[in-house]
Formats: sequence, C-alpha cells, structure tokens
Amino acid sequence: MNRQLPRTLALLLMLVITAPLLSGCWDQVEIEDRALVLGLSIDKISAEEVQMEDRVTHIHDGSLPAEMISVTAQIAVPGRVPLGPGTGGGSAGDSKTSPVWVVKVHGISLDDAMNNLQQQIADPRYLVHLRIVIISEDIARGSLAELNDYLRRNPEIRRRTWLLVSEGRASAFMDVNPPLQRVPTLYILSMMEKSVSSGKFPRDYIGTFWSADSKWGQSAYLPYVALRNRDNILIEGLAYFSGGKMVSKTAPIEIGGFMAMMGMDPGGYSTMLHTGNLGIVMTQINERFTRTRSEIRDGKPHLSYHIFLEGDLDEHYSSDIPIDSPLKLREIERDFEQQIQTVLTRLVKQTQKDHSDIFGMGEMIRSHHPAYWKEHVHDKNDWESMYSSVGVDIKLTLHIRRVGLKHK
Amino acid sequence: MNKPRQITTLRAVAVMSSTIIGVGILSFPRYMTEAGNTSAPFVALSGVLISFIIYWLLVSLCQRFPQETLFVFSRRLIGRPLAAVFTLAIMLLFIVLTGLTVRQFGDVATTVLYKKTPIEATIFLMLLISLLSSRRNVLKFSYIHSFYLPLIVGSILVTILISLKNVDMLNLQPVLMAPGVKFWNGARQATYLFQSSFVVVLLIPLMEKPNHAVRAGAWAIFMSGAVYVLIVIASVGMFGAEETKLLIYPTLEMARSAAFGEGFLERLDAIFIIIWVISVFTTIYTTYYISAYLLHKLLRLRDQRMASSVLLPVMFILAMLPSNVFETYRWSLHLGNAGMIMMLGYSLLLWTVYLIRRHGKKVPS
Repeated sequence: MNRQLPRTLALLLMLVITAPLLSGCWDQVEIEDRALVLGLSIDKISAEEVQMEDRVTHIHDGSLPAEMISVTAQIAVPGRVPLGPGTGGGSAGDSKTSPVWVVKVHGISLDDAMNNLQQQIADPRYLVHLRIVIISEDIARGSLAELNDYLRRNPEIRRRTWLLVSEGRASAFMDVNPPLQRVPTLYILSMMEKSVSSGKFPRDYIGTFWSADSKWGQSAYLPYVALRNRDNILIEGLAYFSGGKMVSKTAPIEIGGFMAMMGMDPGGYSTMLHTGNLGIVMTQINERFTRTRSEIRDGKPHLSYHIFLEGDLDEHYSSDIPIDSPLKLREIERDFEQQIQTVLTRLVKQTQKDHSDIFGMGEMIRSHHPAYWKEHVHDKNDWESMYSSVGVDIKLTLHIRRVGLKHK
Repeated sequence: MNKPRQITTLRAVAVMSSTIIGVGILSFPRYMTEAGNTSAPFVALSGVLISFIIYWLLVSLCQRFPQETLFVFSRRLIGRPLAAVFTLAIMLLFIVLTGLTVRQFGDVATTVLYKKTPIEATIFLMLLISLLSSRRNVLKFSYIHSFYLPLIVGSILVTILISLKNVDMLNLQPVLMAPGVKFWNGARQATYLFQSSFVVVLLIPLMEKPNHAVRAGAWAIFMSGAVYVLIVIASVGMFGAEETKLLIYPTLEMARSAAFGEGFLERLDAIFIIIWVISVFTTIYTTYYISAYLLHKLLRLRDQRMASSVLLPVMFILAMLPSNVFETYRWSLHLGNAGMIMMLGYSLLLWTVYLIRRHGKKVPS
C-alpha cells in the first residue's frame, strides 16, 4: 500500500501535466477567422501621400528611409471564394458579393505595411496562400533587397510564388475583373502557369529569381506584365536585373529568343518573317534544344550556342506563291535562321550593354573553367562588368516538320 | 528473456540509421556548402568516410569483448576510477547533445509550424515521449527504431527524388576542389551527425552475431550517409551554392518547393515535416536512452527507468539555455568537436592499453 501511493501520485501528476499539453492546439485558428492574403501589389508612392503613415510600428520617422511604399492586398473573403469554375452565378464586381476584399495600406517597408494592414483588419493575416506579388517598375528599378529579405525570412512565403513587375501602377492589377476567374489573383496565377506549360514563359518563380540573384555568374529576370483594356493582362517581356536592380526589359518575342538560347521546352512562340522569295510566312516553334560550349579564347570567355528548333509552317501571308517542295521549306528555314540569329545577337548585345547576364553564361564559365573564374571573379559585380566583353557565337538550325492541311 | 541475444544485424542497422538521420538534416546542406561551395557533396562524402573510420576504431575493439558493453570491459582495461570518469564524460556529452538536439527541434517547430505554441511545450512533450519510451529495454528500443526507419528513409528519398528534377547540373560543378582547411572543417562537421552511432556499444552484447557489428555500422553509416549526400546534391543543385548559404534550413526549403506536376500535389512540406519530427524523435530517443543507460550504470541502479526520469528536468533546462538559434548552432558545433575528440581519444586510449596488456600477457607465458 505504501509503495503504491507514490506511484499513483506520480501517475496522477503526469496526467495533470500532460492533459493541457495534449488536449488542444495553441495555434488553432478556424479557417473563417483567417484573412488569407492571395495577392499583393507594391508601388512607390509620391511625397504628398507620405503624411498618411499610420505609426503602427514606429513613432519617429527621422532615422528611417523617407521613401514609402503602398501595398494593396487581395484578401479572400471566407465562403465566397468559389470552389472550382462556375459555381454560383453572382455578378462579379459587386462589392457585396465579390470573393475578395482589396485593402490598401502604406508603409516604409513591406513588413511595416503588413503591420499597418493588420491594424486595419480584424482577422489575423496569413500569407500561406500568397501566390502572386506584383511590384511596379519603380520598385524594381530601386533596390529589392528589403523586399527579398522579408519574403525570404517569412516562413509563410513559398518559393513557388510568382513575382511580377508591372508596367505602370501595380495596384491596378488587384482590381482587374477577368471573366474567366472570379478571383483576380487566381486568374493571374493560372495565366502564368499556363504560359509556362505552353512555352510562352520560363518557369520563373520567386525562388528561381532568388537563386539567380544569389549566383555570381547569373543575373536575375522577372516577368514584365502590363494591363490592356483594364482587364486583360499582357506578358510584355522579361524585366532583367543587374546588381539587384531592374535595368531594362525585352520585347515579348525576345522571351522566345531567350528560351531558345536556354533550350527550354516546349516551344511556344510563332515568328513572322519576311523571306527572300516566298513573301511573308509565319512559323510556330514546337521544340527547342540547345547545345552550349564554353572556352577561354585569348584570356576572354567565349561561348558558342547551337540552337536546334523544330516547328511548323503556320501561315503563308503571300499565299499566291506556292510552297510545295522541300527546297522551298529549306529556303524558309535558312531565312529564319539568319533573321532570328540577328534577333538573338541583338538581345545578347543589349543585355551585355546593361551588364545583365540573364543567360547564366557566368555560371557556365564558373563550372567549366574554375581556375579562370577563381582568378578573375571575386564577386557578382566582377562578373556582371566582365559579361559585356564576353564573346558569343550563335548558330541556329530550324527544321520545319509539318505544313498543316494545305498542299500548296 | 529466454533468448538473450535477439537483436539481429538488420535491426542494429535500423537503430543506427534512424538515429543518425535526425535534426541536422535541415541545415546540413548549408554547412557543407559553406565548406565546399559546389563540391559540397564531396565534403559530405568525406565526412561519411571519416565517421566510418571513427566508428570502426571503437567497434572493432568492442567486438573483442562480445559479452560486455564498453563500460564494463573498460573497467578491466584502464581500471575502475578512470573508466568511471570516461563514462561520466560520455554521459554528460550525450545529455548535452539531447538537450541541444531537442532545442533545435523546438526552434524549427516554433518558427515553421506552431508560431504561438510556446517552445517549452514542444520541447517538453518531445522529452516526455523519449522518457516514456526509454523506460523500456534495449530490445524494445530496437523494435521502435526498425518500425520507424522505412517511414523516415522512404519519405525523405521521395522528397529528394521529386526535387532532383529541378536540379541544374551547372550548380554542382566543379565537383571537386582542392581540399583546404575549410574543406576538412566541413568534413569534420559532417561527422558530428554520425556520432550517435555510438549506440552500437549498447547493442553488441545483445546482438545475435556480435562480430557483425562493424558490418552493421558500415551499412548504417553508408545508408544514412547516402541520404545526407543526396540531400546536399538536391539542395545545392536546386538552389545553387550561394543561395544555399543564405537559407537557414535549405532542406526544408527544398521540400517546400517540391511539387508533383503542376499544382497537382503541392505542399509536400507538411508530410516532410511530420516525417522529420519522427526522425528527430528517433534521434533524441537514442541519445536519451544512452544517457539514461550510462547514468544507471554509474549509479548502479537496478535498471535505467529511474535514471531516465531523473534526466528529464536536466535536459529540459539544457534545452532552454541557448538564447537564440545562432547560439544553439554554435554550441552544437562545440559539442560536436568535444565529442569527436572524446570518442577518438577514448578509443585510442583503450586500444593502446588493450594492445599493451595483450602483449604483456603473452611475454610471461
């Protein structure tokens, strides 16, 4: 009996201790009590608007940066986000039935702005479902270091989030009302994902961007998007970076050129070109494959690209001249090769002028010529300035496989 | 009970592998990349080889005394007092190791999973589970390990395989670099993860075939070593060396960005974290078990049940000591260093004495 008592007591004590530890979850938050942020847009704001700071995270602005950002968040309204397409028939745009709630706040940094946002909404904000972050070109041309730091540090952000650079104000993208999807950010998301799967755009998540930004031998790039007719979103090119700041952007067709240089499959761009004897034709590229060689020539890095493309004949604009023989297809191929080669060379020249190695040529030199790399490159800056003097050879081979259903 | 030697070689392998795969898995690629940039996998591989050598040194000696544990035969070799001192030192090492490991676990859990749950609660519960399970005997201990091992290795391998398709070979080149001080430092740090393979000394007297201990260790170390090397390859190949250095838990990031197809099966990190918690449990379980076992040997208790209860508050306090994540990592590295010196020094000492004694015996006869 005496031996039993302490044991029973110990057991009871343990049960008392473990009961509260095992019974519940400290972090339990019901899903309808969460403010799920689906998309964010970040703009720079003008000096007049700066007065509106909410002083949630600080009192004196004296020693803090004077420039401020405006953040627009799209928050999912619980119960109104449709599950799957076509459920419910409420007219979109009506603020009472809209599946998202758009909130706009100011702040010195992104975190400051998110805290200001929290001060304005009841439910705790959650970034776990954040899929799209749109920054305006002004922000991209300034330093992204602060933004990257916050997003990298925050455990709720995933590396598969898209970061887009917008032409004009980024907040405009939070108000678009596309007919295909009731949630605007989900529309932008599916648009980016589909352009990846149809070969219109490289898989360039924020994680890819960060990795490229960290690598010494590569410069980062982001999708550059613009609004057309208020509701349509156009992928307008690649915004490319040098020294962590956006320097310029490419034309949309140059995205295809870039993807061809990188050998990214599938091919998705059609090219309109003027051939010597056959008039204007359009070809659609279906497959891309690239063989790259690097060498050190006279103490300078030199890269040769051999791009193999496979495509179809899409349209013959000057259709009075028949295209009915392998010889004529060969002619189109030859003209295509010549013309696209000049396009690609121009793209390379342009990025070289801007010191932005989006092709990752430096990475190729680093991995294949480590001794040269160690001697000449000591940080990212070294490579980006050296990049402008790199020799690049581009050779193209196009194969037109199909011509469609027309014989001539 | 009627058959004392019940631990098969396979089960010994399971115990050691699931022990080795533990909390370090999340930050391991960062250490390796800091040491060797793109040749990080090679650094890790060297670490695995060195760990095996250390293991072999100790275990080949233990195999000569298949009936006894290290703590028993060391008394005959170097005398009772000295053996007790070393046993005490090893025990302290494992107590601190348990404390720091559980702290690292708590840090990750609080940062990534439960933001509002106090870290004390996560740590306490983990220690409590280990306490309750280490009241069992070595045989059950080995059963628990072999039950969890397939889960741990399988799911980690699946995560790695999914991530491997995002690997850019350029990120892994140049594969080799001239080994310098940094390289060997990194390799040394890699061996710290394998220190708990020491658990084999508890198993040897119960193994069916004690002379297979080295073989079991080779399997365990090379299998878990392969897992570690693959993790390094996957995360460096995916992120590039520079980015890996920026991330505090590169492996976790890797799991977070892994996805099957396009948006078909995303967020595998939830599964990964659950498995990781299990793998941390098996690691802490082992170090806890060793500590409790040593305490019971030192105090000559009937079994280690009492000892394991006594250890809980000590380990809990140790786990709460570091004030931040950087301190935890620094202390773990110091502890790893101390552990390596201890293990190497102790096994060398025992070997020398053993050889001298054997030699001494031969001469008079």
